[in-house]
Amino acid sequence: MANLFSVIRQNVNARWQRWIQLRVPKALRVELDQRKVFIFPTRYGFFFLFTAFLLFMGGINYENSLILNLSFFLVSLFLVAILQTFKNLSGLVLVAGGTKPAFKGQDALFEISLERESSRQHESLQVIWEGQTSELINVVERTKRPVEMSLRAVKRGRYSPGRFKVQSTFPLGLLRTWSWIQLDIAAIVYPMPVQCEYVGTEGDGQKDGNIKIPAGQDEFEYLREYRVGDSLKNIAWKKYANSQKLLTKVFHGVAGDTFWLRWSGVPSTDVEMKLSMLCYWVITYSQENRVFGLSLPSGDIAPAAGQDHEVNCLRALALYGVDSHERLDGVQA
Amino acid sequence: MKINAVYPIPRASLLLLLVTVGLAIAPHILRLPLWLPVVAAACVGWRVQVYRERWVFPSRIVRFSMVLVSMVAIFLYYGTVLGPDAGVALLILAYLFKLLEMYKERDAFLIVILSYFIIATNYLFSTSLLSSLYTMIVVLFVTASLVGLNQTMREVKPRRTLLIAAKLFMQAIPIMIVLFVFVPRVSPKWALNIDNSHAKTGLSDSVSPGDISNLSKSPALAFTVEFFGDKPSQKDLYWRGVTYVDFDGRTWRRDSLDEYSTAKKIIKSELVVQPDEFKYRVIMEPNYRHWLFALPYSILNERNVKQTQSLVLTRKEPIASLVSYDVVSHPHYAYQGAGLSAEARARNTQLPSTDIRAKRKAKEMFEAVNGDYHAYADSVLRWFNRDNFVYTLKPPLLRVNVIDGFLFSTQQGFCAHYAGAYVFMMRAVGIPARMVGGYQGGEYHEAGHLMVKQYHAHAWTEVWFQGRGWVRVDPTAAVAPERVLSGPDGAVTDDSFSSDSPLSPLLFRNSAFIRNLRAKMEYVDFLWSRWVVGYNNSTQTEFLSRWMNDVTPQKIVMVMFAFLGGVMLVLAAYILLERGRRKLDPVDRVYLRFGEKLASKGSERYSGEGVWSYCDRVSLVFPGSAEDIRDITQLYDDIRYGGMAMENIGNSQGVGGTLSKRQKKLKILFKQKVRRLRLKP
Repeated sequence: MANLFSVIRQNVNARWQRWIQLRVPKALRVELDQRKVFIFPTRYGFFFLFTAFLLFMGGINYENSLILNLSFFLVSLFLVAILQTFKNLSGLVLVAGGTKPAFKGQDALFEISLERESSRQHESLQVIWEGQTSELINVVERTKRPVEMSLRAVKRGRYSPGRFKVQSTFPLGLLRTWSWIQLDIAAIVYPMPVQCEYVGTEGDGQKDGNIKIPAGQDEFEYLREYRVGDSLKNIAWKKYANSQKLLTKVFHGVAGDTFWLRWSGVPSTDVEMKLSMLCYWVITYSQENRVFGLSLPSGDIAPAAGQDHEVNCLRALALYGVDSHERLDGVQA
Repeated sequence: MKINAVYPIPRASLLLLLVTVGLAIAPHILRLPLWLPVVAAACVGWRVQVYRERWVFPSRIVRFSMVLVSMVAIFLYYGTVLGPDAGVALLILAYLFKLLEMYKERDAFLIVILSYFIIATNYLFSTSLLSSLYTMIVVLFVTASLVGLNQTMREVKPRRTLLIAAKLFMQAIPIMIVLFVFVPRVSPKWALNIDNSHAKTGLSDSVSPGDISNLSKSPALAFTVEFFGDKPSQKDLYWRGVTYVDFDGRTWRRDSLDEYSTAKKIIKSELVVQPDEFKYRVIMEPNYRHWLFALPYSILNERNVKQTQSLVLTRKEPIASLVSYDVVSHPHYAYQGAGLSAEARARNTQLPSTDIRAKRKAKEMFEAVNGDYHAYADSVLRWFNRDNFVYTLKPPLLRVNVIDGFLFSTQQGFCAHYAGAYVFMMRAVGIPARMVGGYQGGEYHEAGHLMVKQYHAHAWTEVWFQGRGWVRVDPTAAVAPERVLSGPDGAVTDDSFSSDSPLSPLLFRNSAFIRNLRAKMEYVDFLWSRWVVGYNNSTQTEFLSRWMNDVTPQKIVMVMFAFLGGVMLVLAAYILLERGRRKLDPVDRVYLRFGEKLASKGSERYSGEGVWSYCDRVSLVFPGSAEDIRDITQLYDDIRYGGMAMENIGNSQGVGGTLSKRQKKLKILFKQKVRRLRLKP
């Protein structure tokens, strides 16, 4: 019996997803119009109508025109609220914003932007995703309002949040209007770092010392204009004496030894575990400001150091074996 | 101990909610016990303190005891917890206590809903135009509170919330009017009665002329009459209401057979009616009595109204709200001319054993006309007219032998004295007679309708003669015929009609301006009563038949939906198509004007051209104004994107002060520069 229910539920769920996908397709920018916006009374709305009904009965009973009129006013207000509540959401534009990558098991951050296209104002909006609800958001004075959604990254690769709901009960709380939206937005999820022994070859023995490490202090590179926050130590005081211009000396470091992190170098046979272990070493080496290269079956990343290099390596690990077209879409009903 | 989190209500919303509570209660204040406003103030104050996080909400036990104590207090004050007054008081208390129990959004919503009920109960007590306008203001505030509940916590300006509510309110009004006009009015198939503890106004069940030393002369409206077609003359306007049959020597009492429950139907064969008729509608103010007023002989078809054997119209429920009814009256009729039943004759000739002198006088006069009934009736009237009888509203009190005292010693009285004495004199010789209470006359408004006020209240008699039936005789007219022709103030034969109250409208009767103003106000009130408060089944049919032939409920509903659809369509178009152009920032607008100035000289800004490259380009075209153009561009750049740099430009232009002040000054400078720009090649 329980099995039957779950089959039905899956079936219904699949149909719902197909339907909503047609109605509100995934896009970088979604403008809410009458096709995409749904509306239904809240329980307050039903209670409000019931109040109107009670007043109507009272007006009939006491043959009191003015009490009847009050009940008509409530009904009228409800009808106006349908239009106004709908209007409050319709015309809103949702734009995919930046994302912040995360390690598997951590929270990935997605930024979406609520924007208004016209002079129409959107008040008291809520964004709801996976059981989390944002606070009430106004898009009234400014034309844009960013909202950050954080989602637990459960799988390595490109992680795209499922459909999220944007809703509002403004202005009277008698009706709720909402839409299910999926933005074409994805965050990179790195493998979860797993500590291990590195058993591969330790470096390649080269001692060229010609690989630059940014922000090191070994070798002078060039002069540039002084910026607030530059260390006084690095100011070219001699040049200042000549030209009255504040210049900062820029140095870079030099690394002597180059390491290679190799696919075969980590003690596991499982692909995901191997990636996790390599991830751990990428982080470790970067912290130690070492020069290292990453060699994966899909290709090599030349030895380098610094933050950009670390991100490149982590990205390569994250996307290893992931088809660039494949998206890890989760749809919530 | 369970600690409930307080629902964090937005500030603007709480403020509006508290104002709403105050406004909703205000019109009830005079009907409530004196201590209730104090409780109201305490509850509001407590809620404010909770908002300021100074106090906490009262505990469950405190709240429970508050409810209990107030129930008892209400019971002690009113003697009941039921009935409209006590009921409203309890409702208001519940409403106030709910303020101290706002833990959830739901509680706040409940206060909003209760506000609507409090407003509705006010309509049970007052339906005047002014109080209705006031309640609409309260409704606006209730709506604003509801809007406030759905706004963000940052919303601290109740003005903006009120504006949003006002917009919703205005948009709801057209729909409301359509519903009001077209929703078919049905009569209740049930009747939950509000009890009759109201102060009744106008005529009463009994009259004791001897006990009244100062007849009140209230100018309050009793009812309004709208004639369709011919109007009767002033002297025929005897609005019949009650018959007083039983007399115990002191008090005249209403005929018990006139009660709705005991009323017997008139026997058609006893009634001879001439075809001439008047048609009219009476719009009656609530008086919490059971009788309706009309000119005899009247025919009206109303639910729960009976015509009794004394031709009185009696209604099942008291008139608790404005009531209107259509009447057809046949002024020429004869009733019970053929004969009176022994029982009716006995009841209409019954006399107490008091007032021997009057009885003796009656016998003497009857013998003087040789036992002719008609001649006797006339001779009594002549006696009232000739002897020193005075019509006054401030007669001396009469202790015992009321009739004797009036006829032979004081000889001062108002209509009820004369009518009572006359009926007594008739009965003393065996002529059936009764006293009739109602209104006489009325004032025509220049708009054409007749207004009958409380000071038109009158008492006269009906005397039965074999062959003629019941004949109306007004003994007051014998003393003060002006009473019948021009109303009570012209009739008083002393100065007792001048008012005691310094604010009485009667005082200013002679100022044309005031009279005119009052007439206009009365007319607006009349229209309000006639078309809004009195909008019932028959008014609706009458109103709609001006445009539709053959008004049926089905047809009304169809037309209603057509109108409703139309109004909703217009409203939807107005609301949903109101997208507007993107609103331009004022700074951008000024910059665009700068561009227009240049464009008019042939140097248009290309789409996508940056402000600085545009500046460089046009500076070459207008070298004479190059400096101005550069300044303007610099100012625009600074206002738009300026951070630190703005400080510099500000300083160089001699603009100091705080950042926001400087920004404001820069904008003014920018505007001026653009305005003053004259392009020189």
